[in-house]
Amino acid sequence: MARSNPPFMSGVPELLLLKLLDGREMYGYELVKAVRAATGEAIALGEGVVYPALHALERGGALRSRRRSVAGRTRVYYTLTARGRRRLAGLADDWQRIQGGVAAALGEPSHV
Amino acid sequence: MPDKPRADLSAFASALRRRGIAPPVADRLALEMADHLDDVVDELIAAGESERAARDRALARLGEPETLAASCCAYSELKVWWKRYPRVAAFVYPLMYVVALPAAPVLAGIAHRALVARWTACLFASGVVTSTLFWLLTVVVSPG
Repeated sequence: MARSNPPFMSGVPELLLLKLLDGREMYGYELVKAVRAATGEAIALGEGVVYPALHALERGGALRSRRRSVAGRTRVYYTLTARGRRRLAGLADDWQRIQGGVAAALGEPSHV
Repeated sequence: MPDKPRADLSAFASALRRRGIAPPVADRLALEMADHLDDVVDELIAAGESERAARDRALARLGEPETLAASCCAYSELKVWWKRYPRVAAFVYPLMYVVALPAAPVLAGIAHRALVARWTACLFASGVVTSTLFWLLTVVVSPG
């Protein structure tokens, strides 16, 4: 079961949202479900994280939004911009480096 | 098909504004949260719940407006500038008052220029009448 976001999750919501939006346009609820599915239920981002993160990314020029009506329902759809793609590449690099460092630290015996 | 009743998220929008989120952002967040709630309700109805039960459960899942608003405040770029830079605001606002205080009567005069012109004309006319009376008095009473 997905747990609430621990403090070391800083930057992870942005990374996941940018990654999921790389390639196709999505709306908030769709993204909440997609994060759970993409992370094998390991990460569940709440509404109070996803929507402000989307707004902040849009303010920073990483995303573009438009209100669209589909099958009688109106929703705000988000797409990645060129700046968003660069941000995604940067965040992904950072994450790989951190993940590698933590994995190495956990896998190696203590230096003491 | 009649429109389904939408959740009133004005309490959430107000809580966001109270916490310094810019009003247009707060309104859009509330709108998107209402869309989100509708999606959750539709999903629960599809899973077999009644509309009433689905709406209640969706609202409960969303949480209290204050708690939800608090979690939305992690991104300072969504806040109004004086909440983002309180130290700058503490300097700029008193400075603005210092500039605005002397400018206030001037601006008020410009805004009510017709009234100010009428009063100026009255004062000028009364000045002319008083001066004339004094002059006449001086002429009549003078011994030469």
